[in-house]
Amino acid sequence: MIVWSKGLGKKSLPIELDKSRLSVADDHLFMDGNIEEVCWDYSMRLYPQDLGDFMRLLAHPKTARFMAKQRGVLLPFVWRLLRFTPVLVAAIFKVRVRKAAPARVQP
Amino acid sequence: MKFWSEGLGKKELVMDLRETALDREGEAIILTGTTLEPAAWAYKVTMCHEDWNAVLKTATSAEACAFLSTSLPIGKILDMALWIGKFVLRTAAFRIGSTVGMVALDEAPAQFPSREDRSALAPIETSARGGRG
Repeated sequence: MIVWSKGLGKKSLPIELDKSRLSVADDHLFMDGNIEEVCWDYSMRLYPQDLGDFMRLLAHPKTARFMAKQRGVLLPFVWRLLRFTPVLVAAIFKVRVRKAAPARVQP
Repeated sequence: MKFWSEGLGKKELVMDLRETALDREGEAIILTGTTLEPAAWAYKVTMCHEDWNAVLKTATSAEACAFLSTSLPIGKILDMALWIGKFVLRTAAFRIGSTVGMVALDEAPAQFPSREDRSALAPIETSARGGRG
């Protein structure tokens, strides 16, 4: 991924997303890593709205057509989704039950 | 979304992905727009197949599962699931169309016109804006 912004002047930052570290913060997903070419650290914070927007960009016809060109992507992703979905459902259920459970009073 | 790099010093780029324009240039997808902070700066993100593969892996990672289950309401999760479903169906349709010779994956998407091409995802003028966010 190559990132450019006016704030970087003439420089573009080549970022290898597959080598980035991913962690969960209170209200966002945190991705960070190092840009080897210039030895600069970088970080990205993805908030809940951003995840939905990224999925929307992914579903764009131009992106879908672009991704269809590459073999060996769709079926592994569908397989990962099939494994991911029940885990996500169970996690949501667990969080909701924990929130709904009344607080225990210590004797 | 907030992006920081050592090259930006103490500044952090804040981007609203809802206002990102998307286009394809050869073997990459280009995302362009204007940052909200620290100023209305133009930005451009070039993403190739490997980057989108990384996005797909991130979307189905354990960290994403933990984040989604604790930080998003069910409505938003279902919304994301809908977009993922659209992605899977569209990609499969293009793949099948390409296999039977009905769709050329390198051409402009004239065969599948979409509302997205004419709506908020259309390229926007990257002029300076003030006071957003």
